[in-house]
Amino acid sequence: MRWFVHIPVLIAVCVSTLAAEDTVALKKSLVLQHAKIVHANYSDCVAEAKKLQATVRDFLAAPDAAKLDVARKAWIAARRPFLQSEAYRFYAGPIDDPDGPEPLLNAWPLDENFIDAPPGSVDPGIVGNVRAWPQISASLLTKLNLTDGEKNVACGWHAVEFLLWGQDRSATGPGDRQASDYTIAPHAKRRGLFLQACTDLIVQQLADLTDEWAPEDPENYRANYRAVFEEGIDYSVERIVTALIFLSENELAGERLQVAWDTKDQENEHSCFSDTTHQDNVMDATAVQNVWRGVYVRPDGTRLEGAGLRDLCRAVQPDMEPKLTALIDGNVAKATAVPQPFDQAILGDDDQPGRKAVLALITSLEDTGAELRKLARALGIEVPEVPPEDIEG
Amino acid sequence: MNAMESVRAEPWRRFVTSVRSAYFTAEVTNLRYATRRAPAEPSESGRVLPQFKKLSGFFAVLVLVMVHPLPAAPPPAAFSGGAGTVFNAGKDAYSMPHTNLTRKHRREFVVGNSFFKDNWVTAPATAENRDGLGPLFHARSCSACHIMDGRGAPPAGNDEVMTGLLLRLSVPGNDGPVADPVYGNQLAVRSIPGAQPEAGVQVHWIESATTLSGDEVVNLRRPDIKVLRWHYGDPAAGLMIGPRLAPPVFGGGLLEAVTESDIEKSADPDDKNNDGISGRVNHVRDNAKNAKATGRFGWKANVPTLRQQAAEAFHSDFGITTNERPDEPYTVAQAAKLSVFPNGGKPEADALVMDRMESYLRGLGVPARRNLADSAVQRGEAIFRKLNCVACHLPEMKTSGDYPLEELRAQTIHPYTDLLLHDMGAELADGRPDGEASGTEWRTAPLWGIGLNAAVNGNTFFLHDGRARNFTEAILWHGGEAAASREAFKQLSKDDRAALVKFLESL
Repeated sequence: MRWFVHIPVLIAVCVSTLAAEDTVALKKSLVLQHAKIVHANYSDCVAEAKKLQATVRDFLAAPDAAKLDVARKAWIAARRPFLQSEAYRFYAGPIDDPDGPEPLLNAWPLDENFIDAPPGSVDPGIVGNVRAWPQISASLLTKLNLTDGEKNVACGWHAVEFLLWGQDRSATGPGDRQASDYTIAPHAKRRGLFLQACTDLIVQQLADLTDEWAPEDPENYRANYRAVFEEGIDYSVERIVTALIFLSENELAGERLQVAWDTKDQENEHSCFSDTTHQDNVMDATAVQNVWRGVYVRPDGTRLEGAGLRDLCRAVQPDMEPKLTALIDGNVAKATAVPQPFDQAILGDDDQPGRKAVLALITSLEDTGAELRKLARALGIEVPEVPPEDIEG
Repeated sequence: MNAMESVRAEPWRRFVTSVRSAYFTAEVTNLRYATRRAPAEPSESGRVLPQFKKLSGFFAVLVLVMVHPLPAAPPPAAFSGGAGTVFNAGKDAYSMPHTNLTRKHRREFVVGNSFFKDNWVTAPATAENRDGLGPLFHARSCSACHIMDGRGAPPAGNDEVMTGLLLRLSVPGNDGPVADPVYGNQLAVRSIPGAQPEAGVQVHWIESATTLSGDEVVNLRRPDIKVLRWHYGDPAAGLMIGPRLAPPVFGGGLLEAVTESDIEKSADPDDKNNDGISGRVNHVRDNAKNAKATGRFGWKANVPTLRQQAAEAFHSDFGITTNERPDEPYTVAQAAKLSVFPNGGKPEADALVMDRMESYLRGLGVPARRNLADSAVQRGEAIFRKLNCVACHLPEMKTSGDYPLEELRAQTIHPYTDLLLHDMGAELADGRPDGEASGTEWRTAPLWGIGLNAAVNGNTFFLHDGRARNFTEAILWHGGEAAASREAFKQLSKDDRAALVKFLESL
């Protein structure tokens, strides 16, 4: 009687074992290709962030509407490689180890009044508070993030977004900051220094991440990752899979989409000042697809191609591969299909096309997570239910 | 790694809806470990015929499976939180939803989680659902104090601004204690820029020592709390201050699902059975029903429901208004200075946010017990019973058959609390009555999951002000109705004391 229960388990175990024997080499190429992609991706993050830095510098030298627009476009472009790099989070890698820059780079929601309060506010924020903070610099911003022992972040992507677009008070469009905020408005110069300091910090943090993944540095994370993988390759595979599960299921389906869908709060979206959440979703879905397929397309169109998780799946659980590929490709298609802007798509009744499209994306991402968990199980990987969160607050 | 810890791989948890399937999952997990060991052989067999290779692999695993002892099923006692018990002994052990939640409820849980851990920001902000912080507040998010859904830590001393600990305030009134006319019922140690916090607080620790049998000396400490610089004038005469450590928040749904009559049933206000232990219900007001109800949450069981608890915390901890608490978080006496700050809407956290917060708090599951087969744990459990700790720390309760969240209905749970008030003696007293709770009474703290406090929060600070630094100190502070149990503990052999702690660590 007991053996009846065991038969399906036995079959599953044996199949996966046979596959594992065949796939040590495959795992090795997957892990090496992954490191290559991560490094290229972070290098692109730095390159694009430097372009943003240059446009910001250019804008601040002689602020006008056209240059502000150029800087905004550079911010949007710089977000593309960065969002794709979110597939390297959630496993205590360089981005989110205890000293990693994730909480400073990507903090949300942003307390914009803490940075730069609108006219008429009782407190002017850091920008307007000359007495409290006479000098605005990158080191001041880093220091202020530790204010009173709690997280209150004044820098990162969304701080720069806020400084370029301003508060989004519009029902249909993004924030509408005027270039005059940097010329004749009160504290224009200090606002500019703040923007510059924030942008400089992003470049620095991304450069640090790139260094951690650079080849041929015996001291960095990648060296350690390789050393680890030579000891036990499954450890590295485990990290790759874990990240995909958390990015699809928890971060994107849950935190970013479900919350916005459920609350219908127009600004409960990731990039609320610029209304570029649509791009965030597509790029995050692409991030998962990149690792799955072992492919990364650089901003200049160059393709890095090699072993992906999909190949490992084909070897270990061939019957799971078509479904997972369909789901993961489907995520990108479904994210793309959400009508723009995202903050309009979430409004209305549940039978509105926008809400249906967002829900379809959520469901697909949840299913992706569930299928990836099945794959992880077949690979003998333990994935925690929730991502390892930093101490919040 | 022991057997229970090896079961902690989550994907299986979803299938753990009965002991029977749990048995099955334990096997799957164990087999998985078998497969993990199997492929260690070098893979230079590439030249061997593929078919043969496949067969050899098959037989290798078959042999492994056959010789591998089948693990025992987790016994029912492991399922601390009923059918949805969480098999996870890691850092996120307190953060997981009941494993049996439906997809719909999981989604609501996820949304609630985002409001639990993300910061509230000052108004007016673009994220309209998340603004309105302050002007006075204690923390910016729930998770700032309930770290990883677990316990806060008290200040180490000196001038650190308190986070994990807060101070409740009251002054004598005609009909029992009332809120201070200037500072309300909670001290705000933080404020948004432009406003002043209510006061600064200095905590320092007074050490003392006690000796256990076998001449083991244990150092104890209690806090000396001084409020410095009252920024809004003097509080009223006779001010009472009650320190409160942020307790873990998991398992609240199951406690809410226990029927009032079950709680009342174990009460013995006049100690009619003469066991020296009374056990009283704190009858408090359920604001939603505008009626008296059984208090269950808070260190003095002064709140009847999770939603009311959350609304009070939003009000007093963040300065966020809700339909339940629409009033601003400052008193009339402070309004002149504080009403100038913009609010984040009326209310700042709307009904949907509170619905999801309720879903989240109800949805947080309870971690399973571990190491049940360990002989020291078993001996410790016997001692726990013998010392009559179980008189208040009730090992078993049942949940109601008609609780709103159906996944939590009709469960047998092991919370190790009776949810009742007990006199814990003068040394532990805060001297601040709350509702029907006297200044020396405390609600029995649930002990489920407590053995994972070190794993989740990196510390073992227990009791209402976090004075205990480990299990032994916590036990030694038990006075009043628990004094006999404490004395018996002190007389135990060192081995037996260690066994009792082992048992607590298995919870």
